[in-house]
Amino acid sequence: MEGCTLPCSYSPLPAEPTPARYRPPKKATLMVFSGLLMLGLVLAIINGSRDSDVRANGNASLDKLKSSMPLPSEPLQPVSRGPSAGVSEKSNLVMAGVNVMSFPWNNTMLSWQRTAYHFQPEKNWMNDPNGPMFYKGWYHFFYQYNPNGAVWGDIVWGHAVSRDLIHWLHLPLAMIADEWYDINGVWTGSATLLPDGQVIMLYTGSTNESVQVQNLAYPANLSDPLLINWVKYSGNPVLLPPRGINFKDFRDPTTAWYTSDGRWHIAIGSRVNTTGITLVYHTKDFKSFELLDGVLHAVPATGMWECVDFYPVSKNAEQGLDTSVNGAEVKHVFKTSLDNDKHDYYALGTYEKANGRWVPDDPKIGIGIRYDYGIFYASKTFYDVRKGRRVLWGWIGESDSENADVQKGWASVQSIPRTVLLDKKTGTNLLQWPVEEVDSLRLSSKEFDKVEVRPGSVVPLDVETATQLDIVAEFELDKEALERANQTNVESMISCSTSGGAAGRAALGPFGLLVLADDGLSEYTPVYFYVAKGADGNLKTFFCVDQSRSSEASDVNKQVYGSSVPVLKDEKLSVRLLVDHSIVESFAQGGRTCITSRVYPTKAIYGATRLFLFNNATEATVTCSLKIWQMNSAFIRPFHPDQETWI
Amino acid sequence: MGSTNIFLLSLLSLAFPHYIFVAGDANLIQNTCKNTKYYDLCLSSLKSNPTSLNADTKGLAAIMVGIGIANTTATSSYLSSQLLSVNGNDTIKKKVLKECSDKYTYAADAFQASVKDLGAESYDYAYMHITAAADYPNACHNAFKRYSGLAYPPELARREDGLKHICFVVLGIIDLLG
Repeated sequence: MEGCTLPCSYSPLPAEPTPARYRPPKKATLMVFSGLLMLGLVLAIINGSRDSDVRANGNASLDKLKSSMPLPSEPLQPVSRGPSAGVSEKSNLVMAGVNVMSFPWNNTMLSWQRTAYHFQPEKNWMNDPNGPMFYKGWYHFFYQYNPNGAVWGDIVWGHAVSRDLIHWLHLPLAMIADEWYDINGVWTGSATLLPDGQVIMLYTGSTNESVQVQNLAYPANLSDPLLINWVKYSGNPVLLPPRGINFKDFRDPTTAWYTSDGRWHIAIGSRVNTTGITLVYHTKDFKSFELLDGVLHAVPATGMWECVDFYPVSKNAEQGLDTSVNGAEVKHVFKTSLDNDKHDYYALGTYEKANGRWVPDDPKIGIGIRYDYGIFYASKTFYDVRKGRRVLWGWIGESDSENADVQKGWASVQSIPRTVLLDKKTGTNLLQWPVEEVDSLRLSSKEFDKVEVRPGSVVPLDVETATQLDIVAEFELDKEALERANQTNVESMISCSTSGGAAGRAALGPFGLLVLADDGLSEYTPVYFYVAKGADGNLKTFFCVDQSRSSEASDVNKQVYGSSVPVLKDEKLSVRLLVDHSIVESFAQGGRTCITSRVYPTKAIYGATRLFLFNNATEATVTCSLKIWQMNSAFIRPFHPDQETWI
Repeated sequence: MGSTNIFLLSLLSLAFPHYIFVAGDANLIQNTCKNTKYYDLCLSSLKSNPTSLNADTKGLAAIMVGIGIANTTATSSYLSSQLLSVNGNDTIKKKVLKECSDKYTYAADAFQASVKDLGAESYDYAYMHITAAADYPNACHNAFKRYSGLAYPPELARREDGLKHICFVVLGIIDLLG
């Protein structure tokens, strides 16, 4: 790559992916190789039982998976985790039933996967975000956590605090499974901050008989800003599944909202046969509840609704609203996580004060549109009183194999918290954007102005290291090619996954960035736009991420994710990427369409990671201007009283 | 060692082709931190950054400098926000807070400069920049001292200590280099 200044021309991305395989060492270097391995083996023997940070911590039931050495290649046999206990599938079953060999991951590759500035515990399994809030100067974050292993199970509440939603400090576990009503799981819940200063935490417990019940907990000491200790209400559970609702279909209570009749309301997702529904209860004291008639929302054939969320957004102002706000200036967002497909959906509507009904703006919206077209589930918002914003957290699971998770000793991260606003220009969707505090991680930057990328070319971008980046880019297609382009049958290209990925060439796309790539482009992850001209002459733009060439390993997901993105007149195509080792968060058109991906390269790691621009269109030249920052680590670590305010 | 032993060991190592010895590791982190004035701070800071496991001593120094940057940037922001909530008439307090905010920004710049020097293996220059970074909080503290009516906020005192401790740790690591 040395001496190749912009622009460069390379052959376009090849259409057929080369099959992933583990290449054995060439004969010529065998003796040197074995000499080094001999040294390695000797040292390994000497260092014997030394604890490696990436060694697995397995449950008793996972003993056979415990390993400090990489496993020899063997066919994957994913197991289901979650549904038998009463929650959605938590395992990656994409590769179940297909004969996929496990890749021989080593410590170097696995330790690279840990993120530098996304929230994750020091080790083990995490899933849903719980009870996010701001209290006495600290942002609090709780999460579903398995203290015993890197797979779902034995769930308790982890806890961390931060001054700025970015630099987190780990605290002791907030709640463990120590009562009959949550002995089988201290599951998801939400916080409600009362005007009199009380902090109410409602959460789902799985009882000793696996019945899902709702419980009340509150801080042991409200004057402790760190809220380290929690008390479970002596009269728990406060809610049992109502008549007609299955005892395993009743979980994840929301933050409460206050209405003019002097009562607090909460929503809980459930289902009746295959119709997903949301029940509403009201209460005065969070100890006794009354089920309201009807449902807040219901959609047939969607299955169980988990982690529902219900909150107002301002129609006019660029700020968030407290959960209880309602009025003419306000729309209400109804959100649900679908157990069936592990995706989060939301719809905009009006919450009628008179009768407590929520009416969607578009009667045909059904379940709604997705928050994020990649891996993003069990999301939850909260109202940040400190800065007056509505902030969204999302659980980002792994898309590699359980074997690899156990070997590396951890699984899952959280998204960077996002502000949520109504898109005032379209009026029909939300905008999500990383909280501004993430900008404080920016170190040195490089600007590239109006780089021309011709059809069928790849341009390297010289940034020092390409594993921790904040990229802001704008693309423009040449006007001639736009006019000349034939009208395609856009309906045949209804999604990113049916267009052939980044290698599927057309007149006006795809074009974008290749992240987490290596010099030889044997591994790369395209984040790109694809423009097509519809039958009516109007342009339709798609925003996608293609994982088919992201890694030479065979045991990671290789899908193409994405969706169409509204591009208004006179808007350029713009994108922001947060690259952080094995996670890439992409935001198009200011957050109209978001895609979060997990990427697990085997070669494009550490100093070998590169960044490229690419244009696989056949007709159009693309001009791109970018600013790229190196991102600092967030130094997420256990809380230490002497060091608390240093970051 | 007899040639048979070497041969057998080679065979054994071929039977386990997947194990690759990693350059940086937990031992290196511990030994490096032992050479610094604040072992616990050094250890918890380096362990919180995933790339530390694969870093050499120079890399560990760079990671610690990153912490210094985060600290000074945060303090600078903190001072700016303090500035916003000062009473309009209190021109002296405003002046002092502004001066302090500037000093902590210079400290962040000094850390940035030291990163470049570390990369180029100019350890003397890197050392110099870290020493400068450690001195900027004194300038801020002195600004408060000049005006007897102005108390030095305990929050700022904590941050000053924090920055100095981080600097000592970086200097301890640089001592092991070059």
